Amino acid sequence: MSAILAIRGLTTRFATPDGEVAAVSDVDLDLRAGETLGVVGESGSGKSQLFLSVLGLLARNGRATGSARLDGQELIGLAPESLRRVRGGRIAMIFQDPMTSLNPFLTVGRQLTEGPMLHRGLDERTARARAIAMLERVRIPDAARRLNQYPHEFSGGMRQRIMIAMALLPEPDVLIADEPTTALDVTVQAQILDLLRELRASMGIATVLITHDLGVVAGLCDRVTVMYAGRVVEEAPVEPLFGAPAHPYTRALLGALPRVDADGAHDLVAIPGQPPNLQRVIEGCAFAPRCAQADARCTATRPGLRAHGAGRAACLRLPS
Amino acid sequence: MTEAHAVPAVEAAALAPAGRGLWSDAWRRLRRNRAAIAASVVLALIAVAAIVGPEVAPHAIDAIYWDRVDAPPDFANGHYFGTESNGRDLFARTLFGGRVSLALGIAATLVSLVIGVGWGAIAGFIGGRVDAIMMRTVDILYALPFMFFVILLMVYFGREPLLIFVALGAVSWLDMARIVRGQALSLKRREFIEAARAAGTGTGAIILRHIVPNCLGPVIVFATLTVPQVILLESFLSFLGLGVREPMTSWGVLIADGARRVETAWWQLVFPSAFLAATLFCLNFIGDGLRDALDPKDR
Repeated sequence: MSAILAIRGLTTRFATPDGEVAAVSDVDLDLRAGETLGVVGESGSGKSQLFLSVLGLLARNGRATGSARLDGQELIGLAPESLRRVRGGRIAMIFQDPMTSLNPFLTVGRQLTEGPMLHRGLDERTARARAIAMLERVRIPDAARRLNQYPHEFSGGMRQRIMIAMALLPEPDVLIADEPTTALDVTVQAQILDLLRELRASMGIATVLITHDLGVVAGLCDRVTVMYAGRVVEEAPVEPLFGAPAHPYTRALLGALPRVDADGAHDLVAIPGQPPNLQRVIEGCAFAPRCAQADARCTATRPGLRAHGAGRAACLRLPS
Repeated sequence: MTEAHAVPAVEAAALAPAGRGLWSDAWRRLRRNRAAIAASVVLALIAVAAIVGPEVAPHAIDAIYWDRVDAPPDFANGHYFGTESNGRDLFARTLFGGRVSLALGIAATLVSLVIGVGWGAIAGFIGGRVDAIMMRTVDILYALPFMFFVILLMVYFGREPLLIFVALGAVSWLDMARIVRGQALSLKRREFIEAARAAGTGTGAIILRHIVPNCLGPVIVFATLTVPQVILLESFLSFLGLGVREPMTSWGVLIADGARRVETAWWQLVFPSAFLAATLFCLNFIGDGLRDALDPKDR
């Protein structure tokens, strides 16, 4: 299958008063049509900045280089006006916190019709009709009436459903969900994940799911990309990744995952140490200082991504 | 995603009620606020009195009655509010003063709403160099002594009555621009603004639809404070001979004159002050009501 979004050598740097910070370094990533790709990593691993770079939504001091092609169209360095048309129209984004991602002063209906009117040139009547249909689709009962309500009249889970509806309404090619369930409580999380799964089945839209929750990944994704310190360290289909993780960091992440089904003998293993400071240029493997298997070679040479099993991994200790 | 996404648009359109807007909602909520409605009625009455009052009053504003200097209120001779120190009818003059003061208040508030809000929202949201240039402009206008500015205007354009409007308008939006810029700065980091950007909304649309409505609370409160400020500033200008000219008058002028004679002729202070106070009261109630009405959470 061909990639609908192809990222090559993407590097994002932020100019800070203390020097440059490389938030994303030389990332290659493919999103294929119809698939759901999980992007996993701890806070600061660059997983959000990677996609904000693609959309041209970096903070003022950020600069992205490299290439990101949407259906062959280069997005990095695209004129702001053209990029604005891509955002929301062809690539939609769902944000982490539904409580603050809606404008408290506009009715939900106004906010839902904004995108379709802007990107699809619909008149208000048609846009409202679509909005109602979409709200029903994301399981908001009594949609026609609720369109006239303000965000504060909805619960957190309902608002996230509205955010999802808003993202899907302009019929984008790619959906980027940045930690869509992190701010919600567990039962609501499960409902939202069910909804995402259902929408994936019915609409088949290529989705990137940015998360630090491996449980979410296991339930929803086809493939997983693991990021550490701004680089991709491993990439594989879900089952091999969970069954036989190749990179020590992936193994450590899985080891740090609490399990309800395991007996008391299974202890959580925290990963020792801290993620590296991205202001310094890292020689060798960024994970080496925290890695139990690291040797002298790991701190000297930076590993590249190499084919391993069904996917690719960046670790010098893997047999080549 | 094409086929799967098709929507029975026609059926849904029939079900869709008309869209509710911020302003139609606000109006509905405002109508339920009795204090605000009563204040609007009183303010409307004051405005009507100021517009038609001087025409129907028993005496003209510039008719001088030498035999009735500083005369107390008397219904028999038509001097309902008494006369002032030059023997002119205070009733007609108070109502006429309302024209000038209300017109100035409205003009300055409009300027501060249109220029101040627009200026501040653009500077705050766009930020960077644009913000620096726009706000330094405000700083320069702010630092310019007001009297110096007025005198400069008069040197260039002569004593035009319109100049007071220009002068007061030029300074009235500065505070508003700063307040709105501060709001815009904090709003632009909010997630719904980022979400709007991610949805491809343009800068202009974000400012109009997302930044400005979210600034309205402080904007309205400050606008109601601008009106008395401007009315008093005008009286200061007039006191220096730079404002309205005799025989025209304004509430500010009448109050300043009345205050000097309060021990001998209380009515000269009390009547114009009562009108000004009533107007400000009404504006506060209306402003409060508007602020509550514009907040969707408060209903």
